[in-house]
Amino acid sequence: MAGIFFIYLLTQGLILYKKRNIALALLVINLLLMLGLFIFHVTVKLPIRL
Amino acid sequence: MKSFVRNANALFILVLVGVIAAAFYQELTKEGPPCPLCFLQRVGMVGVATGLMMNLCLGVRVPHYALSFLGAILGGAVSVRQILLHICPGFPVFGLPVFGYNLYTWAFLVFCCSILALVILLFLYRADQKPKAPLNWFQKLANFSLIVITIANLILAFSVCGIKTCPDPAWPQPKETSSPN
Repeated sequence: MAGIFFIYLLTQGLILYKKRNIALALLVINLLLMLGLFIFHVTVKLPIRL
Repeated sequence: MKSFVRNANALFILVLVGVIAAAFYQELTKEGPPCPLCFLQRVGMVGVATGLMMNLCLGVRVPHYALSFLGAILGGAVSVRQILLHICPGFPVFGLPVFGYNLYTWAFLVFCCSILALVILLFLYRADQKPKAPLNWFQKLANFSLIVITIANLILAFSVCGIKTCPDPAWPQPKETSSPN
């Protein structure tokens, strides 16, 4: 989780230095990581039992 | 109109930072460390705010709004998941309520309002909103507060979870219903 916030911080630094494409890529990677963690939580940590 | 849209983006960032700061206050003074899903909701809020920060610094563009939308939808999904967990029989609520609702319910409302605000900002979008004017003090304040709250989250996440995924709180197991046989 700390890694995600670190990448956010890196992204914000890149935005301030006007590196748009790398910042966009990092932000997409971060949101995909978040999606992965969410799916991990739903399926492995506390699986939904229907 | 250009400066109005950029100031609206800055105001949106400051509102999100305020929500995260309020959650910080609630959790650090009353509840104890946040749960993994609470962290994921914060990741969503910081994601929304980072897309808006790109609008401020790199010009107002549709892909930036799209990333904010993605953050809001993912964060909303996480908060719905947590609400559904806690309405199950056998699961207690997590943390203390604020104005009658728990933090994950507030987070869901924040993500819904974020989507609505992003729709309004997209209605105001014009293709010629490139960054020509430098940031004013309000927009600089929004950027600075977002960076500060991200650093605070990084420190909290590292101190609670280390570099691994966060441990779950000890959930009580739902009672097994015994079969009549």
